[in-house]
Amino acid sequence: MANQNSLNNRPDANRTEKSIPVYGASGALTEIGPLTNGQLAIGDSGDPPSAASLDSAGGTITITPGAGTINLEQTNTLDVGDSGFLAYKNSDTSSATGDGSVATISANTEVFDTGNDYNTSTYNFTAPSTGKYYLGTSACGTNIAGSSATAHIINLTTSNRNYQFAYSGAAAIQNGALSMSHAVITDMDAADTAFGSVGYYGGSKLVILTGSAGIYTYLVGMLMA
Amino acid sequence: MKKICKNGYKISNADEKALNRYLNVDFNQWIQNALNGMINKATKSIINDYLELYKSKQTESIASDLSILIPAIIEMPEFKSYNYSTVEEVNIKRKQPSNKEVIENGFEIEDWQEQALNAFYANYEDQLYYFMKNKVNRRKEAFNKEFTNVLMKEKSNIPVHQDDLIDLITARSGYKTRKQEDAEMLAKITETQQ
Repeated sequence: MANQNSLNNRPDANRTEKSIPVYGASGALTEIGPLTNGQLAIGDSGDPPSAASLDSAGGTITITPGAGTINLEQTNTLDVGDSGFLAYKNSDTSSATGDGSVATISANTEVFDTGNDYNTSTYNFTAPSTGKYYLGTSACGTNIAGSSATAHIINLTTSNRNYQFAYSGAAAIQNGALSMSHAVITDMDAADTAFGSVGYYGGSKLVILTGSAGIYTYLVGMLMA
Repeated sequence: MKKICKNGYKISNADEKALNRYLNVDFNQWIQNALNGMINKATKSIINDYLELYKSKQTESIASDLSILIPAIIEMPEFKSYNYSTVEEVNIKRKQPSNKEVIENGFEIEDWQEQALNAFYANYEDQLYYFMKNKVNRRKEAFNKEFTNVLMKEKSNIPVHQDDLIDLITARSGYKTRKQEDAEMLAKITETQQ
């Protein structure tokens, strides 16, 4: 019992404040710690317990140590359809393009936004997790000067890539109007952004980017995998 | 105003090259966009989940200013923090030192934005740092995959380490970053249409 009592019999000055007494090799009383925030005395079949922190090797649990507390929260994992949106432009924008200026698809009104990842002020979608996303957009321009129009381009731009679809010349324009659509399935990393834009070339900056509840100009996206 | 990410974040030359292969903005701007997305998600979640409850407790009209609304909602006794987190372990393979600071002065956000982030995320700074690390890691993996295939088709030797492969490829004449490729492609399309 001499060993077991050795620590207990030490003068107070020789004990480490806030440490934990444990029996070590040959039953000798020793101590571990003091433990820092969130640390525990964790057992080892071959050795005395030691001070250690919880870990999540797979990153599926978020561990937040505090003074006298450990908070465990399951890391959010997203599945198909957990993030998706449809937003449209609700009113016209005059003089949006026509001279090659590129106008953002300013889809400012949501039909739905599962996951709250679309921003109706910046017109950006932010991917909540790394994955494959469906993205689509459509833009309706009016007041296009058909005789001088040269090119019409619609873009889906993500942080990683730009997907561009170009129409040429005046042939596609009907009564000064041209509606263009574009869709892709693309790779996005967590926190990447995506937006749509459109440019009409060859004329003056008089093209109206149409917006109404009829959803002529819109942006849509969905987590696919 | 609150300053966040004061500790900064450093990347290596090879990290930067891999990012520039794919990003159409500087990495600092990408991080700012990511932060904006986090603020948007936190704010919308809180508003969508608690606005009706908050309205039911008021007698007159309520402020629509988020700097007033968000703190008022968070102060309600019924409000519960979301503790949202998508943080996972990310291991970036690096041979070169990380000596390029990309967010030297951190970011300044409004007090109410910080309150929203704090109420929604388990740890919003950890979340943003995770996004940064994940982005670097994903783009280095993408670069490695893209150009390993190129080297295999050429029957050229393939550097074992990602950083060496990135240096080899980006030193080639004719190599282009995303910004350069986008600008050239746009010029081609518009020129041929005129």
